[in-house]
Amino acid sequence: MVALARPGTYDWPAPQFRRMVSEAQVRREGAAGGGMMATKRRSRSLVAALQRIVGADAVLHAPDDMVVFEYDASIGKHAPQAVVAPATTAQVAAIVRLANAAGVPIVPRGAGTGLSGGAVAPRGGVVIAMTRMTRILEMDAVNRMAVVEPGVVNYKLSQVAHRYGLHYAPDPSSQKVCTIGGNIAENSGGPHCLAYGVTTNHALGMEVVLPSGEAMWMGGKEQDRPGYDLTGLFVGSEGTIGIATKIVVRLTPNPEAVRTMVAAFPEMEQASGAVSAIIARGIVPAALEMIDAMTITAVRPLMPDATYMDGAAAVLLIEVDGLRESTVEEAALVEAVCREQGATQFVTATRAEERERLWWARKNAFGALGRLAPNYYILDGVVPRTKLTPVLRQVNEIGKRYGFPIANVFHAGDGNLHPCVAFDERIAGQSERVLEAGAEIMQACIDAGGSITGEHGVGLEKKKFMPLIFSADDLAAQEKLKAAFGATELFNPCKVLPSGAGCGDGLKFPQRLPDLGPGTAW
Amino acid sequence: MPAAAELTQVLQAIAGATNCLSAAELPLYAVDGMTPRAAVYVRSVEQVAEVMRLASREGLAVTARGGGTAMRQGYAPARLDVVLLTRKMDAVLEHVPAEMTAMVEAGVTLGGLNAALAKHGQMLPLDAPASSRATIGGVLAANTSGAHRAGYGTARDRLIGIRIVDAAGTPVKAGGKVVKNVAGYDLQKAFIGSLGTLGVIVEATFKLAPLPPSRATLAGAFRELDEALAVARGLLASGLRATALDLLNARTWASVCQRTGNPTMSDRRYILAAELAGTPAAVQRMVGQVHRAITDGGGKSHPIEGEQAQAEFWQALADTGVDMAQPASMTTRCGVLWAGLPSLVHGFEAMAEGSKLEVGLDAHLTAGVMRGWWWAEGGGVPKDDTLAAEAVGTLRKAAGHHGGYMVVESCAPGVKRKADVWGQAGPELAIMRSLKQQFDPQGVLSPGRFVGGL
Repeated sequence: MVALARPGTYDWPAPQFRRMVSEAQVRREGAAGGGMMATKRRSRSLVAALQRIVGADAVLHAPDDMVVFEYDASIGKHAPQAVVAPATTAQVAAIVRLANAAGVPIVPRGAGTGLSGGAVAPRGGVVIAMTRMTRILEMDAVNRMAVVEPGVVNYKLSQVAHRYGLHYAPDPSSQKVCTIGGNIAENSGGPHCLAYGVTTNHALGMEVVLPSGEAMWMGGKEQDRPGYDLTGLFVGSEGTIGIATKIVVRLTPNPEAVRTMVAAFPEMEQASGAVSAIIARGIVPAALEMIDAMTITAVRPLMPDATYMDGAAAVLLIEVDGLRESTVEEAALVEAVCREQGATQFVTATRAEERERLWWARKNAFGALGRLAPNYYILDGVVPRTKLTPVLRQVNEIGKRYGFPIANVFHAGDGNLHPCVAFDERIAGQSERVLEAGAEIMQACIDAGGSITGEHGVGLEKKKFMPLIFSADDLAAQEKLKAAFGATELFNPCKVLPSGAGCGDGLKFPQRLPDLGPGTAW
Repeated sequence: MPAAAELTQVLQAIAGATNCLSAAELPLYAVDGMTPRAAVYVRSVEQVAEVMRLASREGLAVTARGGGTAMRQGYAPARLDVVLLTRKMDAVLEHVPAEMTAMVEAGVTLGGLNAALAKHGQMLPLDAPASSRATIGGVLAANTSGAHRAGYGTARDRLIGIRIVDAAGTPVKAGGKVVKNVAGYDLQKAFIGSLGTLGVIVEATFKLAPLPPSRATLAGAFRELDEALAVARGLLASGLRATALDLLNARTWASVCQRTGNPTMSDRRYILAAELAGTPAAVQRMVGQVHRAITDGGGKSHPIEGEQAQAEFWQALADTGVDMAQPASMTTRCGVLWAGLPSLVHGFEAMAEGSKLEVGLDAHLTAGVMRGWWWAEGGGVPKDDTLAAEAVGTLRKAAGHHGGYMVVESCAPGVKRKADVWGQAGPELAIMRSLKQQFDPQGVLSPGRFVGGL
């Protein structure tokens, strides 16, 4: 197991799949010859079959070329045996059918920014990289919808929609690289989901390639179609019951005015109290984020003007949007509440560049934290917002007990915590102990009446926690849902539900790769 | 299968004698003319589970019923043995105002819940006909929606947790009680709009909304459809965030006016109704903006003054089909995008005229969902079911021509026998069938009523 040490994942440039095919591989493909061992030949012929579907330049199989497909933003890692980048629905369907026939697992993948191992291939097999399907097929401004391919980058969609006075509301922190397909799989959130809802509230329909390899539409532009809400069931299914190949999303009108504020508090408890107090006053801000003392320490040196942070134990970032008049009134109320709760500094910005500057600390926190420790384990848990104070206290206490500093940068408004546990994988035992600390933090969230994931999914990482919040009967019902879509052991195996043979334990996998499909015809 | 008397005895043992209805009362609980063999008020999750265990053991067909306001949805049941009455499971289990969430039992009425929440300045912003009778379980199972979906979404946007009892009598929970949660499959969505065919909803947890500090309702009356739609499109393009923006035809407006005392504006054929909510200054400005847009666009603007009158207006609109004095004989719902809307509105009205029917229309403009309420000429029930049944086919074809769909949400049993209320399902029916098979392999939950005869 290798741990995450990639601060600022959200700033990575979008991967261009074609560029990643090395010249060396092209030479190897050109010089493909016989005389190999049987297993090699099998894998080579599966590769050849994949190449026949998508073209030679859209398949990777040399271990060196596939390194970046071994991991996502979690601390899990496992090598696939081939990576294939389809360009059409028909190609996706053909790949799934081929893998089924060959008895090889498949794992769909977007930009790989998830925190729970959803894009990792725990049993090897074929990773289906959706990053070549990047077309915005339709921008329907009148009906406020767009039809996109799954590889479209979240931020890109909002940029294009902006020309029509619209945007795509869910805005994960990784929005500059993460894809709509990945967002659909994980039911992703983001800072502005407090007021606007998460991915499922903005997904109207999709064309899906099912585990059988059959493609079909669920939902569509017209809402409330007769029948069960398959679209709703599909969103958040983490790529285990199908691969979305076209997606209809709702677009949201841009607000007329936006006000961004920061409030600095000498005590963390005061900041948490302000979160509840703002909501209790009937204000649902567009965003309500918190950074704690450790994060402040990390970002302050990078923000020379941010004197408001000095001496603060927590800073709230609050954004209100809507009509000019409401934002003025709501901002005044927010300021009053924050001051009542003990805020010592309060800054308001309305101009775009000033607002950006206030957001900087929040958006670059993970990157800045990377300067303080070699590795971070970023958690994703949810608590009722009135329980923020006791749970944050527990999180700190757990960190102290394990000797791991923990920074908290999170969506306070909806109680979605993101504790970042700092550790050093080079020190023996730390990689294991950090998982134990993480498990205790999850338990604290559960005990407070919360959940084990707010926006990054269960994936591989959280499977073992599922029985802590769901009974055996609840989990059995989820298995039924999976079965209804025809899920198989080969279709993105080992994710979400705590079952499955040969899956290992969460993030710990069998070290040796199974051969590429025992008993295949190739 | 036990005889009716024996069945009632077993149910009495589960729920108590006073909670089982007498044979004489049963016809009141008939579904599409099919009278159940027993009807029982359940008071706890455990009782629902016991009834379902009995049903699956004996192969009894069970239909859950809350306020009984949406029982005419779907195909006529294939079988019906027990009507499970959830109305007495009516506790608000948890409401923490600072969390802005509430967990309730399925039998709580939407109106009752909102009255309780209003004391804390909050609301569950879902619309339902007859909201004082409609229960949360029913609102979810029927996926009722109305004008306020423009501002607040529908049940799928508000539900954060659910508990159901499955066909075998096993209580199952999905979701939780926090507002943001992606742990596991989003099983909750299966039960919204499923008409009780996958499980009996017993508890639900919602994300609430604050009552806005100020609200205004404005109606704009137009002579021509094009004028009304042009104004609506202009308003939407301006970035206006109305919490409701509906297009009504004159028939709907007249029906609402009759019940609320608003002026009928009889020379106007199409009415835009908008609700604007927010801080007082913001609402005041939006009202000015909408008023100007209406008058500039050739319309007559009519404000509906006062909190009470506004609430009554919107509820009256939602109630159009279930108005006691003049209930609609058929309610249709279609999904239609902007491009198809004018032709569909005109098509529906022409159809009504040609068939000696009257149709009231209410289009939720930001969602592309249009409801139609149908009466005989003069407002009664058509004597001949054939006319309405024929209309269904024609209207569905028209909606389909624009890429949309049409379903009949409610109609007389006679119409149901002649017309397909759901319409032909697409290839995704295979997954729906499989879902039904997984959750109700014996077909004991409202068999036959859902899409594809599930």
